[in-house]
Amino acid sequence: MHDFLDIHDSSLFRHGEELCGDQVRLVQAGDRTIAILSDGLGSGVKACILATLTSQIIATMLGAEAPLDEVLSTVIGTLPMCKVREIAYATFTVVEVNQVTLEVRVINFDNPPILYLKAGHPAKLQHRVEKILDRDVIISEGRLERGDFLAALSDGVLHAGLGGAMNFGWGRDNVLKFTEQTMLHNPGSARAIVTRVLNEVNRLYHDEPGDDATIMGVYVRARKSLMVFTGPPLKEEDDRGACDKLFAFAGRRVVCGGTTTNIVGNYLGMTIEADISTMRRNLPPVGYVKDVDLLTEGILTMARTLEIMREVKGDITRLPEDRNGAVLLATELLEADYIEFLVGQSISEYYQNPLLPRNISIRVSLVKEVVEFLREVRKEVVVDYI
Amino acid sequence: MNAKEPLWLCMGSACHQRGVYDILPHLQRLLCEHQLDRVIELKGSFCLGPCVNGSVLKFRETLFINITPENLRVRFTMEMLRHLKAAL
Ligand code: FES
Repeated sequence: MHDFLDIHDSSLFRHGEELCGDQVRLVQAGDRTIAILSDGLGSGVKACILATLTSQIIATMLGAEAPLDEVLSTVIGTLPMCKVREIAYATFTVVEVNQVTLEVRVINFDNPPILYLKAGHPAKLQHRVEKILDRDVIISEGRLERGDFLAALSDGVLHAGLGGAMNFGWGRDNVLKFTEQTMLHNPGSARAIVTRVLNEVNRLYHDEPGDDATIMGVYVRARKSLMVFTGPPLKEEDDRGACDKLFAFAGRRVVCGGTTTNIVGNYLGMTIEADISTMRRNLPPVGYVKDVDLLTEGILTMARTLEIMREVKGDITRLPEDRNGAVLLATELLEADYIEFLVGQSISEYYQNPLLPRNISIRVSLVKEVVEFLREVRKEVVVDYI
Repeated sequence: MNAKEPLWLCMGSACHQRGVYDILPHLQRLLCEHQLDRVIELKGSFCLGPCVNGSVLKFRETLFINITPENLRVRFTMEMLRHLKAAL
């Protein structure tokens, strides 16, 4: 229970191109998560369109549970062949995982073989070759376990350094070795692993990739859970229950809001101090107390948190360095896979002041926006109004 | 030496909007000027209650309300000082 399927993809564009010829699509169909990486022949606009088309056809058909051979024959039948090179115009890898059973199926059509590491070390999945419309398709199957990392690559990853830093390019063995080393350092997320490997690819290309290079990684790890308690409950007699719930929560805990912080302080029978050093001109400070990972002021902090998360597009590695309430809250939210909001709907008298700008007057709508954003960046979010 | 007594400075949303960021360094300076910094420690607090009358300071059980960066010096010398001296 509580394994989390952490999927992250990232691409380097061929130097000088504005569009990527590698495309990734993710679909959720019931318990199945389907991730598709397609690499269009060449680079630039044409490659981009081919790869988009390919990944979209697969996503739509597999999502609708079309049988595999039908999907593949549609794609292979649709894709034009390059007359000169006798290869299809777009290659692809499909990784399909059942979130409940962790059964995995990988379908590879002319992309480099997947990387697969078990407990940080290279491993193999059972595979067979199927002929569909006279093309070889490699199908691997198995069951993932916590700690497994599986990645689909576009060939630009293997060719890193070709003719430059390395005569024949980085090659699959080296990519695998590098990934193994990366995993030794307990990377914690698919994003961390993919980013490190891709940074190395970029380094080998001397920052000027000769081809689009994409890694789509799937990492099975423990789910990171977070509870955010924000806003005083409508009825005061519910304060206790809300605190009970917060402290019973198995995961990280954040309290957001001044009055909410006081409720928690009362519950614990202590005065919670604000850490003055974290105050900024536009942001009130944060506080800490035993068994709560972060306490912040409410509305101003949450509004700024939303802004920051939007600015960095949900990428935790791009958050500003400053140790302030909004950055700390954004870090907690983006670090988590599963977030439970406990939203008290009582509105402090102060915020009913008609002189206040409307944007700080309504907590509930702000929380809604935050939740919406978090869902967009693939967080599982549950909201409880109290 | 005994632990210093806290002087709470409210840093909740409302008080923050009313200039706590600027009040803080002033207040620290005033405590030094009156040599109260040996016995009193300035501490940040979450909402102290009377948000509508921010900014708010609290020493022992007494609340000081409607403090602004502008009126701080006057309010401090005329009003707060005699309370704070109890800590000496
Ligand atoms: S925010 Fe200062 S009293 Fe409420």
